[in-house]
Amino acid sequence: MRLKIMIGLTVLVLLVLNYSIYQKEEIIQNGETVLLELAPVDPRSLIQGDYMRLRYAIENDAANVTSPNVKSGYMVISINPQQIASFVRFDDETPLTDNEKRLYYHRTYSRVRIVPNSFFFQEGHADRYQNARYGVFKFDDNGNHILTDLVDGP
Amino acid sequence: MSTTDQTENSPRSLDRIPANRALVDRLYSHGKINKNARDVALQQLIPHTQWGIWAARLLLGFGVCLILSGVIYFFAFNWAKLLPAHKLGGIQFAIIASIISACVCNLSRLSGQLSLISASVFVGVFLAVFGQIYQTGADAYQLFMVWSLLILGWTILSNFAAHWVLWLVIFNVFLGLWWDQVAIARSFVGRDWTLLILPLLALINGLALCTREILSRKPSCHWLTPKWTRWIILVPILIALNIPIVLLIVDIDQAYDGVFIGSFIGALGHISLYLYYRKIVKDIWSLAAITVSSLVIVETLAMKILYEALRDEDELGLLLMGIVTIAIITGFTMYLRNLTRTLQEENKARENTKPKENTGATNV
Repeated sequence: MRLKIMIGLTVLVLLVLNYSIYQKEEIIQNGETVLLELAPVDPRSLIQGDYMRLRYAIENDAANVTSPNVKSGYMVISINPQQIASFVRFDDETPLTDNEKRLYYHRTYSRVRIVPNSFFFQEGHADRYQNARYGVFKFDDNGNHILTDLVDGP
Repeated sequence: MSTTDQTENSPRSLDRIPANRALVDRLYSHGKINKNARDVALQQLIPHTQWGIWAARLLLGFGVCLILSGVIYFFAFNWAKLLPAHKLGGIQFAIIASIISACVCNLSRLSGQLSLISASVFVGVFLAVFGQIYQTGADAYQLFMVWSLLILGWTILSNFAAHWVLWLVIFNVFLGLWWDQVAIARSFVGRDWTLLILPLLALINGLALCTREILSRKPSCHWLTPKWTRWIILVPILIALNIPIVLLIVDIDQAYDGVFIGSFIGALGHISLYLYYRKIVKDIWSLAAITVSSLVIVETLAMKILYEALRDEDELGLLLMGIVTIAIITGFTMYLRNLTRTLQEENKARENTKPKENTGATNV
């Protein structure tokens, strides 16, 4: 009996793990590519071990607009032909146009933040990403997104 | 259970008395066996060749460590060249292999339990690699939350104390990170309340300790009876209860509300733990841990008072601090010695009033 429960639990755990892989792969395969401009962090690229801290220009643009007093929510971004995103407004339920998307944000110490705020890479590969200007994102239709790469230009 | 009970007045059969060095030494010191018999008995119990077994196990341990570190370095060095599918597939393969090993070895044996624990560890490794491949961000609390959820089933199933220790550690890390990365960082609670995580952790682990105390009395939970399962939860609880009090004493002027509440809960926690292990479950080691924690508090208080009172007189202050420290530690030590004696007498008195069959089975 104990053995059967253990095997059942194992199947469950493996299902959860593989489903999460499937979800992410789905977004990477079929998602729309969007570039988010990186904000220069001070100092320019803070490389800690094998990951880089990220800030996005959109976060700064959003900070200049009076925002709803919520812990987390969605902002609306518009995507230009070069696939570079720019801030439009905080989401107020108005219907989106074709080139607009919702992007999830939350507040950390009352600053607008977009996840992920870090990019992992193998130790020693820091120079490849030192001059990166854009974060490459894949978006699905529901606004779920994955950061897949950092690039120097569109 | 003490050896005197077994040798002098226990009605139990001979084969249920454990033979060990202490028993042989005791028999020898009471003049029941002569030196020759003692030497022969010890030779039987602890053969000369035992160092060989010990050395073999030590070398086996070194070997396992070296092979494992070799495997880890191999993967670390070739990390970028491996495809995501290889990485995640390999770790899942390790999970499945651990579970198969647990099935084959059977959970009633140590090897089976260790296999199940390694499966739990591999789930954590999987989540870490998953987070790195898909850039899920630096909010590490999510990893520990999902990890503790996914392995909870195996942990409950294992009936194995070490597995629960692993689970508790993961869960505590999750709570700590969540407090830092969500509760504080996203302003659900003010920064003044940062320290409140300590009483919170103490309460959660106190719940675990309560569960342990209740379940360990049931015959079906015999795996909880070893006393280290109590101490391994009790000591972290004491540390979490102790820190706010010490902080309050050291700098009462700058203490936030969180420190005051933490100290209040800390004092309350110390008192209730003391009463529980003094009156209900009589356990001298737990009482010693509580006493040491109280000693740290009293010592901090004394040093603070002396420092404030003798701010201008360096030499006298240092001398007095030394003397007071010696006095405090002596006092606590004498108290503990007295307590040990009282507890032993109480235990003896209780055992004498109980029916004979229960002599060996103390409830602590």
